[in-house]
Amino acid sequence: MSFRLYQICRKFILLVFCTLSFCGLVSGLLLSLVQSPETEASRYLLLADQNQEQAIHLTLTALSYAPYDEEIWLKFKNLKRKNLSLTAVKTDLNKSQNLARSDLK
Amino acid sequence: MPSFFIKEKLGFITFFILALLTSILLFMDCGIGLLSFLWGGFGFYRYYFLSVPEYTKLPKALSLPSRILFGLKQENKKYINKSIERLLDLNLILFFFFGMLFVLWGLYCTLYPSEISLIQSYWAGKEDIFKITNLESQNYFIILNYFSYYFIVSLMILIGTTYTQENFLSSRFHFLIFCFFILIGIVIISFNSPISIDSYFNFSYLKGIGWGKFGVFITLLPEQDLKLESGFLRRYVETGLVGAYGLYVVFLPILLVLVRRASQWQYKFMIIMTLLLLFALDFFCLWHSVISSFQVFVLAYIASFWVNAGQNKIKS
Repeated sequence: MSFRLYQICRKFILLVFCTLSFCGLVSGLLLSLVQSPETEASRYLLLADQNQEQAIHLTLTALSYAPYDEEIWLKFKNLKRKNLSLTAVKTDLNKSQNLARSDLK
Repeated sequence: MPSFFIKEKLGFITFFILALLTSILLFMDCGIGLLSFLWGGFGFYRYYFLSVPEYTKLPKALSLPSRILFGLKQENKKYINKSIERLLDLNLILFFFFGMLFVLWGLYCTLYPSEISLIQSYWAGKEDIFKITNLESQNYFIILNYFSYYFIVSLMILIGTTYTQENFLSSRFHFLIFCFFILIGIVIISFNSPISIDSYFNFSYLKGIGWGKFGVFITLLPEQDLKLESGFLRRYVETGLVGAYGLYVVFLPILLVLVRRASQWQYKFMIIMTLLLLFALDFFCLWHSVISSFQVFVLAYIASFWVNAGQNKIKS
């Protein structure tokens, strides 16, 4: 390796060293400053309670913060079951409406 | 013993204590922010220690004490240059280059996730799960969390590489430590049931659904499918086929340099065994914080002798 190349490589690797240390410090500081995942998960759960239309989506977002929280998981399952039964009722209603229309014709 | 070597010894002990603390905290699944902060701080200390000017001018007054002091400084600089030269190894540069590509690929998958339907072939009949897992919003906390983890591992390897004092590959003590690693690995493997690898070669699933979504994904699976979770599978779902196999490419330079420079065939054998064990833990075992922390600690241990490998030790 030529002397010039050696000097460039040396400066580059020290720059990488410095950058990585700086990024580690900053990301550690940011992670310590932002809300903990549990707090974020409970915030999204509260939002899900307030907004019934988006409840499934918001509960899923809460799950992404606390993926192994059984309470959130149970809530999500209940919401999904409710949503599925609602969809089934809607489908039945549509079917009966279609039948009634065809009978009228 | 000159003060340089005392500082190096103390620094190395701090490095090892930090590595141990990191693996314990990762095992407890907490404190990644604090760890990232600590490693960042330690990285800066090491940078400050190493970043001395390459050459200094001769003192103007060439009296005997000034000559002795100048000579001592030059001696210290020679050792520091030796430490930095370890970082200039082509394999280490390749390792960091591939590592950067791996992280960028993960970030790309997170910001532009793939169509989740591509992975359906493996979990056929569970379409509803895939629809709801495809979250629209990006969770920046998780991105930061992943970044911190990668910063910690990179700093561990980078800092560990700069310690020239320890010559691991020529002592029986470290041979025994390798044996200990292998023993722990075998115990972990024997306590975990093997997982199915049918889906691992699905080449249509190149891009993943993004960092942090595997947690939700696995929670939504039926209970009998929960045992499918391994480190490899986690990467496979999150970063696709490229990310899952890409990590092995990242660590290939480590294997090459260690095997090439190990002084005796026993050490070559032990290194290959240890790296194969890390691979087996990643590929066949259930993902667990114990396995993750064990892998990080073994990597830190390997990093502390990885370029030197018994050839360029500075005599104190």
